[in-house]
Amino acid sequence: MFFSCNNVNYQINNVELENIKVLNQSVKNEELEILIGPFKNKIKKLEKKIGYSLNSLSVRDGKLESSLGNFIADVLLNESDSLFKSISSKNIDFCLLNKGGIRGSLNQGNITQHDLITIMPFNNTSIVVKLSGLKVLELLQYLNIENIAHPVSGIKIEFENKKIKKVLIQNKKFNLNRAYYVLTSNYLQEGGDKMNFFKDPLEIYSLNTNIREELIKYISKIKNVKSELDNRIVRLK
Amino acid sequence: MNRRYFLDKITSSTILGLTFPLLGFEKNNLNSKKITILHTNDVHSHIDPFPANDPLNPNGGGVIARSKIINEIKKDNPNTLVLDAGDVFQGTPYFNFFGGEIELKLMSKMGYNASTLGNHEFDNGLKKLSESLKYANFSFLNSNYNLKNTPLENKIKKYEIYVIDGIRIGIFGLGIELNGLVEKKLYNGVRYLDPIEITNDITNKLKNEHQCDIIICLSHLGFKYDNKKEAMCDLILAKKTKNIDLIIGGHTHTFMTKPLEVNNLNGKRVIINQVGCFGINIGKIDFYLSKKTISKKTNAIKV
Repeated sequence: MFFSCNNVNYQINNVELENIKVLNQSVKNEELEILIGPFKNKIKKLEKKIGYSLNSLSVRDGKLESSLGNFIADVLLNESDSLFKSISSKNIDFCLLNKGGIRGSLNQGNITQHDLITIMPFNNTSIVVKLSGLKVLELLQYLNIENIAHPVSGIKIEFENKKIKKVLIQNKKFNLNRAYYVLTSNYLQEGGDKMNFFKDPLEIYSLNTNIREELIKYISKIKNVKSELDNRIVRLK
Repeated sequence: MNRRYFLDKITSSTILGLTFPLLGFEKNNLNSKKITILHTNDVHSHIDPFPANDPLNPNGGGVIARSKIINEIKKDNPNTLVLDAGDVFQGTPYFNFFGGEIELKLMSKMGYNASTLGNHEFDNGLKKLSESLKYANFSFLNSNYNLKNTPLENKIKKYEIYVIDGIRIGIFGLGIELNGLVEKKLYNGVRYLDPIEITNDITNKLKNEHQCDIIICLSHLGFKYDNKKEAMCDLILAKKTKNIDLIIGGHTHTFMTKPLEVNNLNGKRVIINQVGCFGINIGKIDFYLSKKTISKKTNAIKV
């Protein structure tokens, strides 16, 4: 009782701060290793090589685009187009994903399934929506305001002084009066990352393909991959 | 991630929070007590260290190296709390295959005392999240999600008070608005409440009712959003509330070289710190406290 009456009897006089870097120094810790071991063994099969990356791909090596983002959006657009055509007899115009959906980088060298799960841990599927020109304009304005490297393919954008200066979709000038078929993920279509322009589209086609599996299939097929920045989205001033 | 490179060991000798300038006060004065706070955020299932050829973080992180640092610091000062600011889950196959079991078991073994719910904790839905909590021997704290009638009801504490060497430390957690960030079906029934109102309510309780000497917020709100200035974040939280001494942040994967000091509503200092992501860094904050009694005689007798 006596002590509880005197509870608040300390004051902070001084604070010292330090952010410490954690570095692997091949130290041993049997207790933790025994705990991790069985889990690690079960995911070992993912270490099998599926392809080779000729350069290191990162999601943060450009301003409004990235080498890894370009790679993923390009592959997904190319690989999904024929499937979409078989369903709808139309072509996909462009693809928009989100930077937050890509969680790691791909180092130069062997690519494994483990890498792909680390890069794209989410079980998102591909979806194509038909958007009016006005909704595409909303999409462009979103990219302009967000100002981060959301992966795109099939579209080239120039921003200048916080304005949309030039937009090419499949190498043709953006036309506000027509509708476009846009490839994205189920997560974004449902309003993820506040991409609200994807909600309530004119038409919606669920391709039901897991985005990560599409990439694994593609890399296993093509073997050597390479991707670079190509100024698909730039801000001039 | 705002910084590509991080100095090997950033030591800040800056003395913060001198709310009572005591003349001749020495930090290792016998009347002084030291509480160490260690913290991580956004570890995202990174259990193994990054490979040596990783362009961004060669040999960075890993639970074994982290555990070594925690143990060494605890040896130096047993009065240490180990905290996390959320997004423990999602980012490596460990989560895809085992749903968080190994992450929580390891954190329990490493001696974590508390964490908070990050948005990625919801990635397998409420039911699976609720079930996985049995692997944690520490608390998940959140005070701004209304979890009534969800599988998490009664499993998440609003706050917790730790009494260490006579010092009362109140810790509470805040989570980010899940709408637009997590698929609806994964968090169905969870209601997001305004962090400012909740904080003023909780910190008032911690300070006055529970008489806490240190108040810490584990926040997954994010440090700040340059493109969305009005969006709730740690910086706004710090300025618009009272009584918080330290905000341990997460979500934005911000690599802070040095913790930031901000003045709160009462003009008192709040420290904000966040240590990037993936377990590459550990934040260490030492609080030095002394008895509030002004009489020097009392202290002298005690010595």
